[in-house]
Order: sequence, then C-alpha cells, then structure tokens
Amino acid sequence: MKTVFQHLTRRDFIRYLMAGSISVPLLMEGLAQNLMAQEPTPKRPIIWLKGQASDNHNVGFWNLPEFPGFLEKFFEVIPRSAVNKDISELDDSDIATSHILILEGLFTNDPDDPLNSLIKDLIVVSRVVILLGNEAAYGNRAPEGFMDLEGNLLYHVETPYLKLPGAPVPARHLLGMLNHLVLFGLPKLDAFRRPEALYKTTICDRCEYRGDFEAGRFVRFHGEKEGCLYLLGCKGPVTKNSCPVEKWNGTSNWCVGAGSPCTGCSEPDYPDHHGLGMFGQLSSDDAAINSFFVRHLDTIAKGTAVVAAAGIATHAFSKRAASPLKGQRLPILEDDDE
Amino acid sequence: MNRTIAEYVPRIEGKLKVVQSDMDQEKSVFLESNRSLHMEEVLVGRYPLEATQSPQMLSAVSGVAHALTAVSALENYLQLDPTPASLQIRQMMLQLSTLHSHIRHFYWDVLPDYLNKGHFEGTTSLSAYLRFDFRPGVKKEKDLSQKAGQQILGHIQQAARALDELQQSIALIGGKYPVVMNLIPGGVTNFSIDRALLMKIMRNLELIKAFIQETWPEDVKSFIRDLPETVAVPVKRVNLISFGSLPSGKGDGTDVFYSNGVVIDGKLEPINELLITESLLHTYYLPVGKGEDPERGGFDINKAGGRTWIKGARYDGEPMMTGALSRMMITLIGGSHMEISDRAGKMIEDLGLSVESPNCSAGRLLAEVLEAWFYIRSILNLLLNFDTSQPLNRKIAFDFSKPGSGSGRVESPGGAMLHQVFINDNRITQYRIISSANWNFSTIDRNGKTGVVERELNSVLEKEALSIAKVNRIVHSYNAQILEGTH
Repeated sequence: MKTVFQHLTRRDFIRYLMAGSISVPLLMEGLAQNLMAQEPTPKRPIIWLKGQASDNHNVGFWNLPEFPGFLEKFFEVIPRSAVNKDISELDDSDIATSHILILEGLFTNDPDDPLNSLIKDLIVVSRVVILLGNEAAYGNRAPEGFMDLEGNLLYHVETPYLKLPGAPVPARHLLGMLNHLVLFGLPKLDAFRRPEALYKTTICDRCEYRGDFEAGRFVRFHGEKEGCLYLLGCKGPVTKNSCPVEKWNGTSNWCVGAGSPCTGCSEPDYPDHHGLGMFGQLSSDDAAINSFFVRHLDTIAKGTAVVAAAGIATHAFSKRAASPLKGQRLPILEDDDE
Repeated sequence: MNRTIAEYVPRIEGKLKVVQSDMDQEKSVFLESNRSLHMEEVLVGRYPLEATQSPQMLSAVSGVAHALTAVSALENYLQLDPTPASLQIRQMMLQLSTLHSHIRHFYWDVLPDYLNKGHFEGTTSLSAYLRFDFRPGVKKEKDLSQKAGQQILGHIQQAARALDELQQSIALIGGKYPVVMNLIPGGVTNFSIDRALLMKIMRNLELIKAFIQETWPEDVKSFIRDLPETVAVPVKRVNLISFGSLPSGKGDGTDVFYSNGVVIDGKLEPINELLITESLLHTYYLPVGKGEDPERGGFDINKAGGRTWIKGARYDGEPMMTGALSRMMITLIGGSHMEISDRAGKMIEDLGLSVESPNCSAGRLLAEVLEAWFYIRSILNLLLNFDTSQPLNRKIAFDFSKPGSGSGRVESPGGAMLHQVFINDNRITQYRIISSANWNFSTIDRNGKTGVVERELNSVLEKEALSIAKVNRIVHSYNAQILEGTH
C-alpha cells in the first residue's frame, strides 16, 4: 500500500521530515515505507550485542511489520557469532570503523568473559553506540558483578552514544533512531543522553487524564474507577516519554490507558524514584500539583493585564455608553469645526 | 579436565555455557549459567505490588506468566479472590502470551539450527526475519532438506505477522507487551473494555487463526518427517510436573484444559507445594544461615564447586520435566479433559511413542502446536462471550500491613512457575521465584540427580561427541529461558 510519503522526492521528504519532526506518530506511520522507496544507500553495519537480558527490549522491534525490509535495505546486522570469531579480522574493515553498536542488557565485569573484552574493543571504534533498555542505559544501578557501560566505558572514550531507556523500550523508538542516524546523524539529546524528540515532554502533560489532575479529581485506590492515578503513585508528572501520544507500538493502548499508574520506567532512578518506589505517591512539589498557577504564571500575569485593560476599556466604554451623550454628536466640537 | 563445548547458546534469554568434564575416562556434561540479577533480593523492602512488575523483565516469553503468578501470590496473602470477569481476561492474556512463545520457539529458536545458506538461495529478504544473532552458514549434518527448509521458511513472514498481532492483542488488554500493566489483586485494573475493543482483538486473531491452526502445524509435521531423529527419546523416563490451567472464571469450567499434578515413576499424584524444594549444590548460593552477608544476600561467587545461578527445583527430591508436553501428559494420564486427552494420546501414538516415555523433540514441539490449537479457539470463545458489564476487580483498597505470606502457581509457556511472597508492614520481606528453567536446566544435586536437559546432553554424549550444533539443537528444543532461571 502506498503512503503519502511515497509521492515525495527524497529532498522533499527530508524537508518534510525535518519540518514534521514535531509529529512523531505521523512520521512513524509511513517512514519505513518511504525509506523503502528511496534509492539504496551503502548499508550501515549494525553490531547488536545482547548481554544478560531477556528479549523484552527487542521482541517488539523484530516483529514490526516494516522492520525486516527496512533493515535489509539500509543495514547489515553482524551477528554476535560472526563478531565473536575473531575481532582482529574486523580491525581494518569498514565494519570496524562505521558500525552502529547496539548494547542491550547487562554485561559482566568479569575479565574472563569474552563479551567483556569484545565490548571494550568495539566501543572505541564504533560510529555511534545505542544503549538499549534501562539495564544498558542506567548501568549505575546494575547488580554486583556487572558493568556500568556509561560510567566504566563510554565516559572515557570519544565515541558518541545515546540512550533509549524504558521497561521495555518502545520498539518504534529504536526504529525512529535508526532512521534518524541514516538521514541526519546523531539526534539532539537531553541531559541523560536520551533523544529529545522522544523524551522531551512529561507523560502528565499529554495524558488523557490531565484535566482530572488539574481539577484534583483522583482515583483513590486501585480498582476504584478510571481516572487520574496520581494518588496511586503515578510518575507521569516526572517522567519524560512519548507514551501518551504514540501509545504502545502502534496500538491504541498504553500503561495509563490500561488503568495502571505510570511507573516512570524511562527515568534514571527507576524503579526506586528516590525511595518512593513504583507506587509511592510523588509529593505535591515533585508533581507540580499546583501546576496550573505555577506553570502558567506568565500567562496568568498577561491574562490579568489583558483582563484589567479590557476592564478599563469596558469601563470607559460603558461609561460612555451610559453617558447621556450616547448616540449624540458633540455639538460644541462640531461647532468648533465649523 | 574441563573443556567448553559451547561458550554460549545463541538466541536464548540469558547465558548458558556447556562444559564437558573428562575425568578418569568418564565423560560428563554440565551447564553453567549467567550471573544472577538477584531479583529475589531486589524485591525485598519494596511495596508488594512491585512484585507484579519487576519480575516481568526476566523474560519476554514468560513475563505475563510472572505477573500472573505474582498477583496470585498477593491474592493468596490478602485472601482475595479475583472476579470472574478478570479471570477470563487473565486467561486470555496467558493464552495469548503462550501462543506467542510457542510460535517463536519453533520458528526463531529451533528452526535456525537446521538451516544453512542453501535454504536462503533466492529468498534473501527472508533472512532478515531471522537475522538477530543468526546468519546461515554452511550445510551441517542433519540439516533440513532443501525442500522442507524452504517450505517452512516460506512461512516465516506469516509467523512474524502472527507474533505482531499477538503482541498487539496483549497490549490492547495489558497496556503494553511483553510487560503488562493491568494486574492487581482481586482482578484487573479499570480500563475501557467494551465490544469495540473485543472486536478489535478478535479481528487481530482471525487474521492469524489459519496460520496457527493449519500452516504452523503443517510446518512442524514437515520438520518432524524430514528429521526422524527428532522422535528419538534419549532419556527414557522422566518425572513430570504441571500446575494446571488458571481458573476459567466460568462456572462450568469449560476453558480449564489442564489438571495439576506430578507424575513420579509413572504414577500421577496431586501437587503438594510443601514438597517443592531447591538444590543449592553447584550453585553460588549458600545454605540459609551459613555465612550470609546481609549486604549481598546468601551467595559466594568463589564457592567451591559453584558453576551456576540456577537453583535446582525438585519435587519430593526428584527433578521434574515441565512444559507443554508435561501439561498434556499429566492431563492424558489423569483423563480430566477428554478432548485434550484424546488428541494427546493420538499424537503420542502417531509419533510411535509410549505414554510412559514420550519425551523427545518432536513430542515437545507437537505438544506446543496442539496446545495452540486449543488456545486460539478458547481465546476467541472468551472474547465472543465476554460480559463487559461484569466488575473487573473487587474495588477494595489493599492492606499489606500485616505479617503474612502467599504463594502463586501458574503454568507459564515454558512450564511450572511458582512465586512465594512474605510481607510485613507494607513491604516485601522475602521473595522466592521458581521458573521452568529451574526445573529443566538444573544441574546435579547431592543425590546425583540432574535436570532433564543436562541428563539428555549426557545421554547423547554416551553415544557420540557433542558438537556445538548438537548442543544448540538439544537446548533449543526445550523452551530455554535461562535468565528467569537465574533470576
């Protein structure tokens, strides 16, 4: 099936893509199909290493309908078995200098673990490293015996890296980032090295129950009713992700939509949240519970000024309207003119 | 002297290393595992509801089952029964995730072990579907024939589509996949489950029903016909365990497929949870009260003889096999569900096996296919008859303040799963997880008994040298989720 994007030239498409980067879901809709329609480019090698992790972060990605064709056209995935055989064979190849390295899961700090030395070698020569999932992205929370990839390795090399956190990571986040790397290179990142395009706005700001939050209408206990789950420990006010807009992998549902408080799974302090845990209630300060007044102070001030000005104008108008001269021309002035 | 046969087995969750020991002319094989993520310790001190979330990260295959088992354990502590409507939703979620697991098991775990470059000639794009940690190599001994391999591979797009539809269907109910968010004690969370949503899921499933009930079974049959050695039974007698189906939520129990029980030495017995223990020999764990470091929990990475983080689950001291085949055989021996009993009996007969000795690769794969055949029918039936006016939960606040414990038992796609929780003052004080890998992938215990996979590897080693390809085929034929075993 053709998408609207397929009627565009490559140049127009890229312009459109840049201009439309505020509308991630729209882009996600036809992006892979459009890329499929473009001229083939040299394939970028991807080396995807999974440490000790379940398949939670990749199972959605590998079954996206648009994924296999997209991958086949633009990338060459080097399986671990091929990399593992002899890393020295890669040293002088294009793969060694231009590959995208995806690290998923936890990696031991055991020097006898072959994966340990392999990662250290690969990170230095990678074009870019993607830390996929919370385990790789926030390794400072790793259990004993595992590496903090950022603190122990990436912090000490010049290789650029970005993080795609989540529990699990939405598959389309990775698809989108690979698209971005193909078209534009490294995306703009936030303070935690997450792509701003995906992790800029809080869940709460775009939540379907935002109105209830503002109005102070909350669900009081699990199962009571549908509505704002702030009192049940929802971390939406402090969690930045695109879930309310994109939903889950193209479905119409997401965590809060299913009646669960947001657990803040893409934040660095997940699941502790500074001692609150997944279901501990944020303080009113953290949640910006008085957000209407705080966030919109400027607007309120401007609004007040406008209202005041309008009031004065109305007052003047009403005075004039109420004047006995209403509807009459001022004869003195007319006399003067004459 | 020890030598590594396989440094790691590809395409499984977690790491499994296979090592051969040559001592005094005696050869044996044992399994080593990845390091533990210490999930049991991580949960200590946390609010009890977190048990429904964190363990889901242990497996994309069994995540839903972990959530269901955890919530059952909390309900057992709270003495709270879930509502009938929520039981039906839970039933659907477990069955959907089991379908996902079984399809993936055959096409993504098992099949690639029997493929080579030849199978992909003229079908380059198909390889993309299997690309993760897989690249077809040169022809190996006992690979699939060109014809059978290409025929099965020709359905890989349909299989991928089926997985996508199943993921979407679970997410429509649970919020996302593979981590679901909607389970609470007493039922499921409040969400808008209406006819439109039910119809949407039904449409998803109708699209893949033919694949599940016709194409995939034919592929598995072709696979078995092409590879007669998959019917060989390396380990003649195995004990079996199954925790049975979830309660159906329907008064007549028509959707309860499996009975719970154990088969020891051919005899069926009811489950006694108190007889479930864990062997710590050759694990890095220390016996309770011996040298436990409160900061790190009871383990020692330098423990003499330590080689795995998979605690060996035992029932009455016996290693047990668990999974779809076990579920089916226990139901067949007990005769509790006539249709399953008949179908399972016919399957065993067609394969030329006996009820006493059914454990082979073909049997395990066919049991999954047969289970899926029943499950897709069951899910569609549940969707069609779901009463959206019924309450989804008990609408009561949870009281976790009192000291107490609870346990939950669920048949995950891979087999018998147990969670035990100890709670006091709104915090988890102790947690225990047993998953299918703890049964099937356990190593030798102090009675000299070992899990079914290690036993099968050793049985094969008695007859022939173990190659990496052979090891991969044996390990993959059991639904291997090592990470949840080491938890």
